[in-house]
Amino acid sequence: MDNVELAKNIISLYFSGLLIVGFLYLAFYLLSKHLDSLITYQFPIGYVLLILSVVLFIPLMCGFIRAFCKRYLQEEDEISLNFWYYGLFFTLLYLTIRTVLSYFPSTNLIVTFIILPFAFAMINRYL
Amino acid sequence: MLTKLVKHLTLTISMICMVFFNLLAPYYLTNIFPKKGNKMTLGIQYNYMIASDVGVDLQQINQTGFKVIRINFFYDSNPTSIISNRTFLFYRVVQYYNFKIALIVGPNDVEFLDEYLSSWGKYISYVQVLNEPELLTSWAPGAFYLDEEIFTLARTIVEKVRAYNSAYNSTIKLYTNFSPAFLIRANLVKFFANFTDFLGLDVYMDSGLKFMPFIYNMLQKISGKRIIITEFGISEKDDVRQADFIISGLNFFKNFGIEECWIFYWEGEGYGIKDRLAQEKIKEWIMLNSPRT
Repeated sequence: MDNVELAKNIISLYFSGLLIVGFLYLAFYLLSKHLDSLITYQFPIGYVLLILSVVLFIPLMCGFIRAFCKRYLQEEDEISLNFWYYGLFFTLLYLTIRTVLSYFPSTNLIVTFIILPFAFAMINRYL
Repeated sequence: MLTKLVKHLTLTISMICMVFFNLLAPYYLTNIFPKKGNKMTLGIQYNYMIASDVGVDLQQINQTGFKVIRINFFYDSNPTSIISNRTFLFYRVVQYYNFKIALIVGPNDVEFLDEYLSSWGKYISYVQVLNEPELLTSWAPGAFYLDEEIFTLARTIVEKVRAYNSAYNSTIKLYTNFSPAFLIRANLVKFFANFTDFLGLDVYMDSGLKFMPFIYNMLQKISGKRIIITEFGISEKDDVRQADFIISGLNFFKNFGIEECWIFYWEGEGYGIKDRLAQEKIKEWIMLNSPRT
């Protein structure tokens, strides 16, 4: 593998991970921004929406994105269509890492947007 | 086939573990990575109606290092009644110390609030608008006040305190406290956040302590206000267990970054800390962890 090929692989790996992490970051950012109005709006409908978002909508979308990454960016032949299952795994993994990272505010964004995309892409490759 | 099964089993187990991790880890992580340099002011709930000697009690409370005294609303229009005498005695002694007084105003106290404030308002720093409004019951246990009833009561209290503040150039601050049950009546938090200066969270039992970061963050997110701990304690006959629980809780709150915590309560069976090991331990804790002012 020459240097150009290696660089292409690394960039492809990074962007496939960044798509997943970026989506999760944006989804939870929006959710936290509207959390107060969501759960005070016509509860228990607000709580139902909150739970549905965290355990259904976000994982489904995340699972779809990871399948897309696996198929097109990493050129895999076979992909699992079990979007929710794998998406939930990535969602929980993301939340767990963010919980730990919240205790290191100075490194929070660096780890989220530089290290996590590679880690998620690597995990995605073996799932 | 077997590999696939093992893979899915591993993923499922790891997901279950991550759910528990996200719920419980903040408590342990807070103790591992504390917020450095945080100093916490302590307060105490005090019932002067059952006190054997108010003067001695306040002296002890002061020596222990408490800066805030939270009291119930006791009022009688008859100036010679026991309630009036006790209240007079309490405020007479309390002015010798530098305590901040937090007054709890309940639904039945609203009509006497004007008279109370005109007599004792100058000694009061905070007025608590109702107590745990999300669990407030009217005529029977479980008969919760409706939202509209709570809004009316709260508005009346706020108007009376604001009227007193402007008439006497006073700076009484308003707050209210919530138990974790606010999660089922989150609209009340939003309502109280409109006029209070800060909010309080009541924490009891070990489970309350473990889930406190999650509940605290939720309360702060909904209200956008500064949150303090307005009730913290344990009903425990074993002195050592009570002291250990309170000290571990105070250490946790300090590490979490809480600025103020009020202990529940000074004297009485179960929760009381007076003349028990907890009082000694809290005194030592305050010397090490509270601001000197």
